[in-house]
Amino acid sequence: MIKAKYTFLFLLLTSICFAQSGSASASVTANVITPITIITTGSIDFGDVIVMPNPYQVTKSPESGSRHEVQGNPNSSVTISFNPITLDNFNWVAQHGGTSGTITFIPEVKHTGTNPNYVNPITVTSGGVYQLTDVGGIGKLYLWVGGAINVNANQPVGYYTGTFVINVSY
Amino acid sequence: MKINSLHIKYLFLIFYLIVNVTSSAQLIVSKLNDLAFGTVFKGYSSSVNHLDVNAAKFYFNTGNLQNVNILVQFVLPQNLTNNIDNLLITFSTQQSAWATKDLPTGRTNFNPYQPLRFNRLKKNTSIYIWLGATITIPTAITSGLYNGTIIMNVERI
Repeated sequence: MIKAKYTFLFLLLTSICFAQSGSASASVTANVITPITIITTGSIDFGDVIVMPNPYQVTKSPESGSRHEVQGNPNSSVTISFNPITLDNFNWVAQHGGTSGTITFIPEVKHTGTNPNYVNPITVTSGGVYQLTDVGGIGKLYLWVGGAINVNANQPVGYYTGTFVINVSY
Repeated sequence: MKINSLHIKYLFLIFYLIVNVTSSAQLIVSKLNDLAFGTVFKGYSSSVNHLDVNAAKFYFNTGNLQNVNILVQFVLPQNLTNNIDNLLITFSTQQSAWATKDLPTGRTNFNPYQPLRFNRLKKNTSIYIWLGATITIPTAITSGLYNGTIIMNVERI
């Protein structure tokens, strides 16, 4: 009788022990942010430039250049980068003939924070980090681009164009 | 009931066997990696494959259990949340896999929404399980860190 009781107890307890289970949990995370968009108004047009026997520089202020409204994640930092570019008259020469030439464009970039007007501009350096300030749930930063072109002595005539790229990234 | 030497012998035997069983036949279950989508943009979708280092990774080992049948079930989140908005998350067979070795090759896909059964596993068998998923982020959703939890239940059957 005693043996039967303990056998039952043993089987009961061991069956509980054998009914094993375990669990583990993993977290799932995603950091959702607003992608960057840039709305550009205006262009950087130096107008007519006179050919001279000596090299000289023509400048255009950022205020009268192009404006770039950067929109992104509020209060996030962005890195802004840009480089000088080379303008050329290759297309113009192909259509009208003449001598091919190039001109270097040296950009000057300013920002006015969240102000869409050119007030209290701050110099933007390539590779610098800037903040998108929260304006009604949208991170904003206004960039202004002007610059200078170096006109060579006896620069070949023509219509010089090039594409200036400014990169804004998180 | 009067305690005599026979009772003590049986009690000692039961105690010894249970301790022995519980200490040597443990089913080991653990999480090795969380599922992380990283930074994702509104208006886009993002997927993590089971081969991705950011996939969730689980593990269990049969210990000294011999010829054991194991049932694995997942409690999967339907949404991630930042306590303001919800973000739909879906799991799939293609993004889920298991293997007996912690290697990118030799994996078997499975449906994480269905129980996963392993029959007659030998003792000290390791099973690795990876889970990826897909999220699609609406444009009209608040920014921030969205969270959810995957629970893996492993049961001897």
